[in-house]
Amino acid sequence: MQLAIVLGNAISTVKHRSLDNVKLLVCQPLAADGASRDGAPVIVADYLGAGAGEKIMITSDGAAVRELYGLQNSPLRWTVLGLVDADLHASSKPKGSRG
Amino acid sequence: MNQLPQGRIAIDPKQFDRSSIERIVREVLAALSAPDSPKSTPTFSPQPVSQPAVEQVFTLSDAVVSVQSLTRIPAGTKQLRIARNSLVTPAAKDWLHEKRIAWSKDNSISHPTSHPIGNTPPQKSLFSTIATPVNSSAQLQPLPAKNNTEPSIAPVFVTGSVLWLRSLEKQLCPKQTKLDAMQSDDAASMRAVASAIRAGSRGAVAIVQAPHSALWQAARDEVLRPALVSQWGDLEDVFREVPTNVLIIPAKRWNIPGVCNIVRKFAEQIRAKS
Repeated sequence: MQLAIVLGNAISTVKHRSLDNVKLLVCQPLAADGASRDGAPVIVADYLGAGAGEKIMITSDGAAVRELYGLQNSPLRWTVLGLVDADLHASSKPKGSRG
Repeated sequence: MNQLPQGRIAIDPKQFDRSSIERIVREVLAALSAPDSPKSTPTFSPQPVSQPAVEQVFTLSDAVVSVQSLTRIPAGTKQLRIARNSLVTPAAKDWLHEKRIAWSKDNSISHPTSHPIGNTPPQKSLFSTIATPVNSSAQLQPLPAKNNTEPSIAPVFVTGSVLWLRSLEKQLCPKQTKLDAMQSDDAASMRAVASAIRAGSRGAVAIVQAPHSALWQAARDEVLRPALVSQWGDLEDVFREVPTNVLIIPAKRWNIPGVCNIVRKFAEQIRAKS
């Protein structure tokens, strides 16, 4: 798992059939300090409904995600595992919009 | 004037000698390999560039190896050694794969168990820090001590005498379950269950070969409230009718996913009641 921030959406009309009806996000993985970048932005499949600007947890364990969501023979690699309400590095109070 | 094919450019061989061309190629490769450098064409410098000593093997002992920490690798590195307890981010793995640098974890290297603490204040705005250049000296923020009020004993204790017991380990949440070693027989499984319940576990699951015999043995122990689950319908009935703390699972009737689902349901049931 790794922290990331949602930069925006990605739209693909022609894609692998296992990605039909799946929301795709462009996310920037974050380093261990929770703020600096780690690598290039990646496209992440979102089953949880994250939005731009939100901090999320992503995973690159494609096998676990395929098992978790019941996908077979999918090229899916990055997936949103959770939405971060607050993290240890944030100096400000959590927004509280999600509890 | 020489006639050249279309698209070719005539170069005066006297303008660039072999050493100048090699130097330009080195500069371009160095500029392209630097992740944060601008992608513009490198400037041609007439002075020869002093190349650092090329190191084939480089060692990193960072707690978290990210792309940021990989920028410290000198050009020409072919192999990277990382501390055995370091975490390598996927982006760093991709970067190493892209640069064709082999990496491995070295057991002789380990970073300090306490995180290296920097004096950098917490970031105020996430967006502002993303747009700003990464500070190479930024270190990990301290992690708070674990909450000592959390129960030290897992709520559901899982044991049994089946060979595939260890296969459950990756399927179950380690915070919700405690998977015990494989027992030699059903009696040993029930003894382990009784010990776990007496030690404070709020529930236990035993996967046995002879379920009725195990149920009979468990019923004789005053701290155990066993229930037999042979099919899915039994599970709901057991939760509704009796305050059980031990589920006995016939190994012949269940496979790994089924047992995992039973354990998860049991853990949820215990958490809901507590």
